[in-house]
Amino acid sequence: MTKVGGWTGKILRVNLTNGKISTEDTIKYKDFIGGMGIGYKVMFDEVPAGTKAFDENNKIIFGAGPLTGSGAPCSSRTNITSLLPSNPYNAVSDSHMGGNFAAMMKYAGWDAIIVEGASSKPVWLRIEDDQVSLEDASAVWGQGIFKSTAEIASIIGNEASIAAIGQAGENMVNLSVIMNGTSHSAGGHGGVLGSKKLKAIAIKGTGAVHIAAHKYELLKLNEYMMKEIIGANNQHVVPRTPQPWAEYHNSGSRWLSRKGLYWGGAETPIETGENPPGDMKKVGFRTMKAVMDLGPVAEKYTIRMGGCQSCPIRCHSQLKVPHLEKYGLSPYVSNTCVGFSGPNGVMIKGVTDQFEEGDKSMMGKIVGAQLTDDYGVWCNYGLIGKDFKYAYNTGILKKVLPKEEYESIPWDKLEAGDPAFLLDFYRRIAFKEGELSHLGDGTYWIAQRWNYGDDFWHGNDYGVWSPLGFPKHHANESGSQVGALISCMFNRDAQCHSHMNFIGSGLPIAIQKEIAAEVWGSPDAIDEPANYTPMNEYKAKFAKWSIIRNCLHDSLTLCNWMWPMTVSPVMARNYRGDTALEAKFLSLITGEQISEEDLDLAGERIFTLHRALTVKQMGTIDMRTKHDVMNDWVYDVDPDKKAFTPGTIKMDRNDMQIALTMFYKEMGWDEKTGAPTKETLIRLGLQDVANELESLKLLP
Amino acid sequence: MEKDKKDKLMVTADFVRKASMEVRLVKPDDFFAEPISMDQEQLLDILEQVFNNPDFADIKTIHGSESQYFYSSNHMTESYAKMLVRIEDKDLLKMVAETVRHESKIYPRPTDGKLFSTSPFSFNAEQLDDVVSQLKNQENYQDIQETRASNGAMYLYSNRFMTREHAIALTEWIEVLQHETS
Repeated sequence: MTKVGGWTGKILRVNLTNGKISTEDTIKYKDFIGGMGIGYKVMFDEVPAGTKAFDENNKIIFGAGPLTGSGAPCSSRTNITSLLPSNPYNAVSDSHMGGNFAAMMKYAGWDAIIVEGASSKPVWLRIEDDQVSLEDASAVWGQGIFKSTAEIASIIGNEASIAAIGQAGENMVNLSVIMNGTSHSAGGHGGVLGSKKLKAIAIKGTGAVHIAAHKYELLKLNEYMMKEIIGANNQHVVPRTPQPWAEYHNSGSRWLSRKGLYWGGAETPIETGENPPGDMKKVGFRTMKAVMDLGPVAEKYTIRMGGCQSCPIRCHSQLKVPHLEKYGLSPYVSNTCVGFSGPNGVMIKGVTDQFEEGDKSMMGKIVGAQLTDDYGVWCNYGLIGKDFKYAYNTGILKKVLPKEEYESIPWDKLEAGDPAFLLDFYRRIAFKEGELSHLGDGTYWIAQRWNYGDDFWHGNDYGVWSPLGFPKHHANESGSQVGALISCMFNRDAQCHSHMNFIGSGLPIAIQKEIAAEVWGSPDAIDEPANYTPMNEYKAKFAKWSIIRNCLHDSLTLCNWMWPMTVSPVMARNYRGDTALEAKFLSLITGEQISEEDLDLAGERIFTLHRALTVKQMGTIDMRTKHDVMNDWVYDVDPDKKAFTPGTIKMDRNDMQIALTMFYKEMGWDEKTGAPTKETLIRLGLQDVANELESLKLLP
Repeated sequence: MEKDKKDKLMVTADFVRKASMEVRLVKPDDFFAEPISMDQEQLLDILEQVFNNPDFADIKTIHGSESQYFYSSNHMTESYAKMLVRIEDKDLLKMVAETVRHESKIYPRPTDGKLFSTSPFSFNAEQLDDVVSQLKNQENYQDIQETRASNGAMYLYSNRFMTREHAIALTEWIEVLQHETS
């Protein structure tokens, strides 16, 4: 690849079957930008339909994009693409991790790493710039992520970034993670590395990402974003509490900093204070998320808020909680969001205060996080706890577990709300011990194996979104049909925050509607929360925009938990963000003039390729009835209320079919089946994809 | 003479700005005391000039039930100044009701009872319970209604701007359900 800014120009390919290590030119994938785009293209071109996740033929791609390593804010995301074992069709999916792995990969000179084949013995991949080798991993095979990371770091050096699997990944537990920095996890693909006997990838990069523009231009753009556009985590742009500088406040905001709230576990406690827009140096204090995730008691244990390379937001809580040692765990714990709450979801009877008043929420979450982070278990976005709850509450566990196994489980701890229960639970999952461990297979598989009833799938208590076995994740509760459409389109929980960041920004509905009119053509693109209206074309445009921006971010690679910058905290801007900011950064960094429209087209290309991959793997074009389906609770919740009346988020069956039709139309897909048409594939430059689908008789 | 006048304008404006930085409103009486020490006539004259001079466009005035107040929009928003005025008015029922009505109208959302325990309101639990119980008995505030989330948290809303069903659903979403996602 001719040297341009942003991309390193090289992709590393590692064949674990024959040990061959080779280099490819990134130019082949330029239309797909990077990260997710590269991953999908490799999967479509190289992995035959019908391949299963743990087959030797499956591949796994670690990808970054041209903005990663450039210094663009919130840009250190690694996109991992492979077949997903917890999906019933083992359809393609992405898992993502923050940390510093992606930036280090770029500094070492690689835009992506394609791993193929399978090793006959445990290995780890050592990358020091262009020196690449496979190393014996027998000394760390069987170890957890924490020890494995430390052992490998002792060989390659502490400055390396190491992505590893734990015992769950080694044992090919479907619900397992790949993790770098010992707490930045990508859920779902740990077992794929395990099936290839690849314990870890360790990278030391000493290079830099070439920036085409003069550095002052980039600094200027950075400063603009930092002073005028960026808010707190999830791009929340109003503080949680009333503050003199702020016109609005919102109790759900992740802009938690305020006077009197401290990083209380620091050697000298640091007050987060008030951090109005304009002061770049204080952006990192805004998201004091430890108290949001773990409760007020966490304040005094919070050493600092951490996060990813090149991210000013700091959403990762880093705590020292000495009580953890009583469970045989390190007192140092770090995570965020569902990384804390998901593992604790298994405590279905709740957690009681353990060491001090008000610590119940924190103790369950940090014990769960330490265990799952070390074993490398994935919570399926919290669904493992719901799967377990159903089996326990309905008596299924008593029936399916051998008596001896059932009696060996410390149910007394579960009933007493003692998080020590999690030590036993997650060990069984990670090591595939006994029948209980099948909870690690994932929702679809365990529901088949243990014959879960309709009340599990369709009941509101469990939040199972799709018959394919994934949960709601900013679905109909987030923007009515917009969130519902987004949640139907992927092969796991939708990891799309484009819409949710906007809806949850904390701004009044009148301002949100004004912005919606400017960005998606009508104020009717959004509804008031829990006061919905029937489907309209602007909601379809909003849904499409949200998804293609999400795909763009996972390709550029930017953090979709922050981007896009639809809103701003600045009153003088009337809270308008800058939706062209991705294009502005990419233009400066690459030296090529790239418009917002160019990028949106690339996002559409990438998402349509995802759709083509799903059609190919499922062997049907009937996406409407085989894939884009919601469980009944979405329509039947609140039985005493009608859809589109205040106070309910229920959807209407006929209206959702209209919504799908409008969405397919916006995407240029077949309006009957929801499969990409030949014309659209060609329009998006995917002629080869059209040809292959045609040969498989999978074009509408 | 002209310079002296300009200095006075600047001193007056800076006095207001400093107070806003310290999260305080300025009352007319504050100008009569040290260090400004104006009389009523001087104050009226100075204020007229301040309000007509673009250099002091940040100096704003706001009215409470018994007094006029001044603040600088460089350091305080109008909405925050309104909160402070409601506190200065010392009419707790009106303060809670107006806050709740405002939130029910513009977001729309029910107001978390915990809001009133934070700055600048800083109620204790007893005060809030007392206010809520008094609201129920006052004709002027019959639109202010209470909802409870499944975790017991108390929220208030105005039925002028939200239906009860809507408020109940949003209370549960804000207090419980939104924390299940990230």
